[in-house]
Amino acid sequence: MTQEINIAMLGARGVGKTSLLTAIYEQFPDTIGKTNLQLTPDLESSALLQENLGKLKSLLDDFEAKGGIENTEKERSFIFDLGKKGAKPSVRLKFTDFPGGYLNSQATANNHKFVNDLLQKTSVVLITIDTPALMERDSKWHEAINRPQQVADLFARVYTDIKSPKLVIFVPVRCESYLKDANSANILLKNVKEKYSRLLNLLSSAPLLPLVVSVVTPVQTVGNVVFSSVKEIEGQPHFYFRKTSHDAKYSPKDSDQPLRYILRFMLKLQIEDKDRNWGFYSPIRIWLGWDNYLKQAAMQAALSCKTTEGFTVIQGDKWLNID
Amino acid sequence: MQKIDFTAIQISIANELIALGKLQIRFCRDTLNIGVVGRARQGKSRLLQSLTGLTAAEIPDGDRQHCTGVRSTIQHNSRVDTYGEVWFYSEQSFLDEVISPYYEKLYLGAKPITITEFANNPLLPLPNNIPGYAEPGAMYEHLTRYHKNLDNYRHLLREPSPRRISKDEIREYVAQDTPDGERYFFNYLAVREVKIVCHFPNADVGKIALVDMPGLGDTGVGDEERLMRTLGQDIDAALFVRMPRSSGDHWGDVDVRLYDKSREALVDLPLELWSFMVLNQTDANSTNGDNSKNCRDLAGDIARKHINVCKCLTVNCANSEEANKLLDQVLDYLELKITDLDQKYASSCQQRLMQLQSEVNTELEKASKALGKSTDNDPENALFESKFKEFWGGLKNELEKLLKELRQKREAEDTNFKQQVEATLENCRNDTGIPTIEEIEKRNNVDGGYALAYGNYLNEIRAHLSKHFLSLDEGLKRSLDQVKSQVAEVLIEKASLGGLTEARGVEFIKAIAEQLPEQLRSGKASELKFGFQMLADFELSYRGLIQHRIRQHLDGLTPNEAVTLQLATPPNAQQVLLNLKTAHTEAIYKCEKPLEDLLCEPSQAAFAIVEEFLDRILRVADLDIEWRIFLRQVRSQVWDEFKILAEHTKIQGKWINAIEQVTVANNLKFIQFLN
Repeated sequence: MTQEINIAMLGARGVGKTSLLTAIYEQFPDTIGKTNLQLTPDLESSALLQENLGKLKSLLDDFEAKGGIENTEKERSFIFDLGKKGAKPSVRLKFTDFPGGYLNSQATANNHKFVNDLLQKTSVVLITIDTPALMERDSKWHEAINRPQQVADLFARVYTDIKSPKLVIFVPVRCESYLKDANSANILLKNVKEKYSRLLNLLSSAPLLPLVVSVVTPVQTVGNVVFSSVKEIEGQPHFYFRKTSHDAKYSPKDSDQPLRYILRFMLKLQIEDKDRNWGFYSPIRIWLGWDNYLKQAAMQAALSCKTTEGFTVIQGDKWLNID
Repeated sequence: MQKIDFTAIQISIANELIALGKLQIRFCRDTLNIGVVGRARQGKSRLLQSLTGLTAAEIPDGDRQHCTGVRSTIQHNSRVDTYGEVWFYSEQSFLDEVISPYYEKLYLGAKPITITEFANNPLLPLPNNIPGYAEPGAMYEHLTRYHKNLDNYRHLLREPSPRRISKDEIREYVAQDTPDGERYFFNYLAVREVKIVCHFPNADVGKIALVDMPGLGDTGVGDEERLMRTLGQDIDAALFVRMPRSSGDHWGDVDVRLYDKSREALVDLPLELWSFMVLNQTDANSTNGDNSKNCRDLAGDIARKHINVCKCLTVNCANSEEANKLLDQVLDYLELKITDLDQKYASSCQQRLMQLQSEVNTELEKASKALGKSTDNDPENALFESKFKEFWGGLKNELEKLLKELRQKREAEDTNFKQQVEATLENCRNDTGIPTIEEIEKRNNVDGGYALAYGNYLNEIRAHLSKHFLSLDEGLKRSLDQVKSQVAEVLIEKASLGGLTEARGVEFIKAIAEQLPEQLRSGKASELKFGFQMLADFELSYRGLIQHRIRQHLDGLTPNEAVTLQLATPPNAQQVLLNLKTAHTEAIYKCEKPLEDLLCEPSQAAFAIVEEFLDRILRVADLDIEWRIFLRQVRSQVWDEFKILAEHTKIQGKWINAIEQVTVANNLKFIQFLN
C-alpha cells in the first residue's frame, strides 16, 4: 500500500497557501523531478492547482500593482503522489489546509478538534508567513495577519507529549522584495526568529528540543512580483504588489525547498533504527520501508537543501543528518 | 493731611505780592509825589494852580462844572515849556475798569463784552431797590454820560498812548468844556491819565510831582478804587484840602470817611506820618467870604475827630506865595522823614514776610510728615520678599509639573504633527502632478522620445512631491508653539507674570526675553534672559529634521537610479504612466515610515527644550537672585499690591519734590530784603 505523509499547512487567510502548493507542483519537474521522480496530484487537486496557476499567471498580465488572488475559506487537502517516473507511486503527500478562523476565538469546538487532530497526526507542519506583513512598518500588521500568538498557542496545546520527531517548516511567502541580497535575507530571517520567538522558544524547550526540527525556507511563490505598498482602508491594510519589469513572467523560486527538507527528514527517519519504537500509532511507523529508489532520490534531493541567504535550520540538525 | 492749610497762606502771599508791588513802584519812582486830595469845591484845583503856575484852562476848577475824574500828574521841570502826555484806555481796559464796575454796582445785568455791544445796546433802567441814597443815581448819571457820548470819544480808545499834547490842547483832555463854556469836550471820558510837565513858580522844589486826585470821597465808581491805588503806590505825601464854610462848619462824616478811606490805601505806613490837612482860608472878597474863624475852629477840633495828620496848616490856596510856603513845609518834612518813612514802610512788609515764611515752614513740616519719607521702604521690602517667596515656590512647582507631564508624553505621538503628516500625505496622494496619457503623448513629441519624457516627468513629479512635504513645517511649528504656549500659560497664570506684557502664547516668551536686561547681576550676562531667548528661538524645521530622511526615498523618482523603474522596449505612453504612478505611490509609501518614526519627535523636542529651559531659569545656581533683581524692578507690573504702592510712591515723590521746591523758595535769604 502507498505510504501517506500528512502535512499540515498553517497560515493566514489569503496568505497564499494554495499558491505555494501550485509553485511546488509547477516547479517540481525542473527541480527535484530531475532525479527522475514525478509528483502527481490527484484529480481534484490537479483541477484546483490548474485553476490557481491560471490566476497566478494572470497576476502578471498587468504591471500595475494590485492585491493577491482571492482566498479560500474551507478546509481541504491537496494530494500528491510521489514516485519514480512511469512507476506506481510509493509515497503520497497529503497537504491539509484549514481556514484561519479555526484558530480564532470564535472557532467552534469542532474547529478546534479538527486542528488539534491534524497536528497530532502529522509529522510535518508548514507555517506559511505573509512576509510583507512580517517585514513592513516594523511588523505593525504582523500580529493581525500572521497571528503568531495563535499559532504558538496551538503548538503549546498539541505538542504536550510528543513521542516521535516533528518537522516544522517556516515558509515566508511573497518574499521577493526581501531577498534581494544576503543582507536583506538575513534581516528577513532575523525577523522570523524574532516575531515567532514564542513558538521557537516552545519548540526549543527541553521536552521538545530532542524531537522537533525547525527550518526556515522562504519561497518566492510568483517570482518577479515585488511588494509595492500598503494602503490602509478603513483600518485594514491592503497590500499591493507589482512586477519587477513590464515583461516579467511567472517564475517562482525555491518552491522546491520545503519539499526537499520534507524528503530529507523522511529519509533520516528511514535511516534511523528500524526497530526503534515510535509507538504503534506514530505517523512515522507507516513510512518505514521505502524502496531503495526512493531513498536514493530523496538523498539526491536532500543534497540541495539551502541553508544560507534566508534559509536556515533553527534546531534539530540531527534529524536532517543523512551522512 | 487735613491739618495742612495752604489756602490762608496763598491768600497772604497774594496780598504780600500786591504790597511788595507797591513798594517796588515806590522805590523805583524818580520823583517825589505829593497827592492833593479833597472833595469837590474845596479849592483843590486852586491850590494846584497856585503851586504849578498853571491856569484854570489846564486845571479846571469845580466852580461851574462837576469833576471829570481824570487823574493828572503835574511834574516840575524848569527846562521845558509846558506840555502834556495823555494815556487813553484801550477798549478792553475801558470796559473792564470803567464800565463793568458800574454794571456790577448798579445791578444792570450782563456786562458788555465788546465795545460794540456797549454801544448798540440801550442801558437798562436803574433798578429801584438798590441800597444807598443819592449815590446810585449819580453813578447812573455818570454811566449814562459814557454811554450817550460814546461816539464822541470811542476812536480814542484805539489811539496809542501816551499822546503828547501842547499846553493849549490840555483842556480838551481834562475838562468837559472850554473855559467860556462855548464848546463841550468828551475826550476826557477816554482818558486814563494825564501828565503835565511845567515850570513851577517855586523853582527850588526839585524833582517833585503833584498828583491831582479828584473824586476821592465823591460819587463815582471806578474812580475811587483807582485813586486809592494811586494813593497807596504813587504818593509820598498827601495833602487833604478842606475849605471851611464861612457860614459855619465842622468836621462831618464825609471828612472822616475820606480820611479813613485814605488810610486804607497804605496800611503799612500810618497815614498820620505822611499826610497834611490844608485848611483853605478864604478872604472876605471870595465867594465863600472870610472863614478865618472857621479855619481855627476846625484846626482846633481835628484831633478830637481822629483825623490824624502830620500837621494841620491853614493856607489861602489862591495865594501863590502862601501855597508855595506850604509846599516848602511839606518838602522840608519829607526831606527829614522820607528815609524813615521808607524804612517803616519796608520793614512792616518785611516783618509780615518773615511771619509768612515761618508759617509756611510750619505747614511744610506738617506736609513732609503727612506722606512720610520715600526712603522708608521697609514694609515694601517685606511685602516683596513674601511675594517673591510665593512666586519662586509656585514657579518651580508649576514648571516641574508641566515638565513631568511632558516627560510622560515624551514617547507619545504629537497630535499636531501627526495631523499635519496625515494631511500632507493625503495631499501627496491627491495632488500627484502625474500627467494623463494624452499629455504624455504630447510630451513624447516635444521631448523627443518616451524615455526622455519619462526622465523629465520623474524629475517634475519628484519636485512636486517634495514640495508637499514643506507643509510639515507648519505642523512642527504648531507643536512647538503649543509647548511654548503651555510654558507661557504657567508663567502667566501660575506665576502671575501676565502683567509684564500684553503678549500671550509664544509672543509672551519672546516679549519677556526682550524685556529682560542683558545683565541682572553686574558683569554677568543674564542667565534668565538666555533661557527665555533660547526657548523663544527654538524651532523644529522640516529641513533640519525631516528632509534628509525623506529624500532617499525619492530615489525611485530620480532618473537613472538603480531602483528606478525602467520602461520596456519599445516604450509607450501607458508604460510611462504606470511607472510614474507606481514610483509615486511607492515613494509616498516609503516616506510614510520615516515620518511615522518622527511622530514622537516634537514631543521629545518639547520635553527637551522645556527641561533645558527649566535648567536655565530655575536650576542654575543663584538664579533666584536674578529673578529677585528682575522682579524687584517690575514688581508693580507683576503684583497689584505694588501697583498701588508705586502709585503712592509716585505721588509721594511728587509731594516731596514739591515740598523741597517750596522749602528752597521759602529760604529766609530770598525773603529778607532789609538788612
